[in-house]
Amino acid sequence: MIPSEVQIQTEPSVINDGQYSGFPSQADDYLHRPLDLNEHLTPHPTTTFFIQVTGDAMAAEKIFDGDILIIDRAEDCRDGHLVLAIVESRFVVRRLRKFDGKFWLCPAEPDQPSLELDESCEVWGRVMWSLTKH
Amino acid sequence: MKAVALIDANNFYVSCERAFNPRLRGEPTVVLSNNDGCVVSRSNEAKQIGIRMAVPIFQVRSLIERHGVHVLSSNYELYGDLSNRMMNVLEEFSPEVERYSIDEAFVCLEADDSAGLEALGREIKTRLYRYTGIPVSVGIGATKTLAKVAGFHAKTLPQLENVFDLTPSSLQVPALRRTPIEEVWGVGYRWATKLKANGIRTAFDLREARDEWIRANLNVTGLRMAHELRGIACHTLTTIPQPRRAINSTRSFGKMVDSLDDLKAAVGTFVTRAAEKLRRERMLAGIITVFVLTDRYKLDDEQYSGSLTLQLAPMTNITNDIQTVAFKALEAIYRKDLRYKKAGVMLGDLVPDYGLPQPLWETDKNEKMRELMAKVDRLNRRYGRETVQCGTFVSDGKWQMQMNSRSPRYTTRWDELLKVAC
Repeated sequence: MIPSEVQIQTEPSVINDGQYSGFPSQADDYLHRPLDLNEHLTPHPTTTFFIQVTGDAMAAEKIFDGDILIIDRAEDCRDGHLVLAIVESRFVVRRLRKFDGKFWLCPAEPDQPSLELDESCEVWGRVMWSLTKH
Repeated sequence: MKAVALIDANNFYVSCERAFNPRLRGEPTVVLSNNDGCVVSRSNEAKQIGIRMAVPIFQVRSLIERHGVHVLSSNYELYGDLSNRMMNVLEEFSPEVERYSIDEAFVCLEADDSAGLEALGREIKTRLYRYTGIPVSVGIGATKTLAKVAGFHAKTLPQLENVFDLTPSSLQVPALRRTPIEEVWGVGYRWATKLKANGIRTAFDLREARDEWIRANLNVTGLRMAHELRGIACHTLTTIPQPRRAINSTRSFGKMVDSLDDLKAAVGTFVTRAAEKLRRERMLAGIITVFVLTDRYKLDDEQYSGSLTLQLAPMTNITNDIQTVAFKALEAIYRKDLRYKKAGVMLGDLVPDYGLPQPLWETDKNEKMRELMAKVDRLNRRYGRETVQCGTFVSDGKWQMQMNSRSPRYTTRWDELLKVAC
C-alpha cells in the first residue's frame, strides 16, 4: 500500500480534475466538458424518437436508405418543415407546405400527389435531423 | 387553489403498441402477460366483444379468431420507456409527481379556481398525447381518493372526454352517488361484500356513514377512506420512492422444465437479476425465498408447489454467495418426475449497504468480490444484460420466456427502430 499523502502520477491526466503533477496549466481557467453530441442533436430527450428510413424515395430531400431520422414531438411543425406523418395507417416522411390557406403533405418526387392535411391524417412529429453514414 | 390529479393511461400497453403501429387503431387488440399466458391489456374494442381482464388466452381462442383480434406479447422495454417519458412530461406541470404505477401518477396541481384546474387537466391530456402518443384520463379532486373517483368517471363517461374535475362541491354528491363502492380506492372484494351487506353501495353512502360505525367495522383504514371522500386529505403524495422491502425475480417457463439442471439455470439467472437490482439500489439482503410451481392448467399432471426461505448470513448482495444459498434451497424443494411451469426467487430483509458496521471477519476475499461485482455491473450496463454472468449453470434456453409476437423495442434497441418506407 502507498501512504495516502504521497501521490504518484506518471502522466498528466485530465480525468484527475485537470491537475498536473508538475506545473499548473494556464488552460485550467478555460476547462469545459468535452462536446456531447446528445446535447446538440437531442435537446429534448423525453420527446425525441429515432426512426430508420428504408428506400430512396426521399433522395431528393437528401434522405437515403438506412438513414436514421431524429424526430422531436415537442417541436411545432410549420410551413416548410420536414415531418413524420401517419397517412392511411402508415408512417410517411413528407414536407409540410402551406398554400391556398391549407396545409399539405408533399412528397419529394414532384410527380407524386400532395395530400391535404385533414382529419384522416396526423402529423406525428418534426424531423429535426437525418443521419447519413458516408 | 390546490388539488390532486390522477393521471391514468387508457389501456396502457395497447396504447404503447398503437403509438408505433397505427394499423392497430380501431382494431380489437390485446397484450398478453409474460410468457403469453393471460390477457393483461385490452383495447376498448376487445373489451366490447367480451374479452375479460386476466383471462388465460387459450380460453378465448374462438373469440379471438371470430373477431380477428390482434394478439401481442408484452414488450416491457417499450412500456417502461414510454412510462418514463410520460412521468417526465408530468414534471413540466408540477414539482410534485408521485409515480404510482407504470401507467398512473398523482400530480399536485395549482390554479386560481376550478375552471383553471380543469384547463390544466385538459392541457396535460393533450400534451401527453402529442409528446408520447399515449391517451390518458385525468381525474381531479381535493384528495387522492376523490381524484380516483373523478378518474373513474373521466374514463367511463364519454361526454367528459377523459377529463373530470371533481373540486366543485355541486358535482360531488351526484358523482359519489354514481360511484359503486367497489370502485373506491382501497376497497377490495371482501370489504365491498361487507359494505353492501350493510347497505353501503356507493362512495356517497360511505362518505355519509357514521365514524363510529366505520371504525368498528372497517378499522382506521376505512375511516381514512371516508375522510378522504369528505375532502380531508389523509394520504399525501409520495414523491420520493420508498426503499424496497423485497426484490422479486420470477418467470413462467417457455416450455415445461423437469430436470434439476434446467431449474438451476433458471434460478441462477433469477438470482443474477435480483442481485443486480439489489446492488443498483445499494442494499443487502438478509433472506432468500426460492419457489417452484407446476402448471395448474395441466389438469392431468401431478400438481406441486414448493418453496423454502433461507437466511443469508452475513447479509450480502454478491451474486455468487446468494446463488450458493439459492441452489441449496432449490435442491431441498426439488421433486423428480414433475413438470415445472414457473420458478422464482425473492430477496427479503433488505437494508442499506452503507453505514453498517463491517463484520470482524471481513476479509480481502469479500473486498475483492465486491470490486468484481461492481465491474460485472459496469460491463453489463455498457454492453447489455448478461454479457458477463456469475456462477456456472447450463442453460439451453428452454426455460426462457415465450414471446411469439412481441413488437420491436422501438425506443431502446438500435437494431429494432421503427422502419419507415420512403
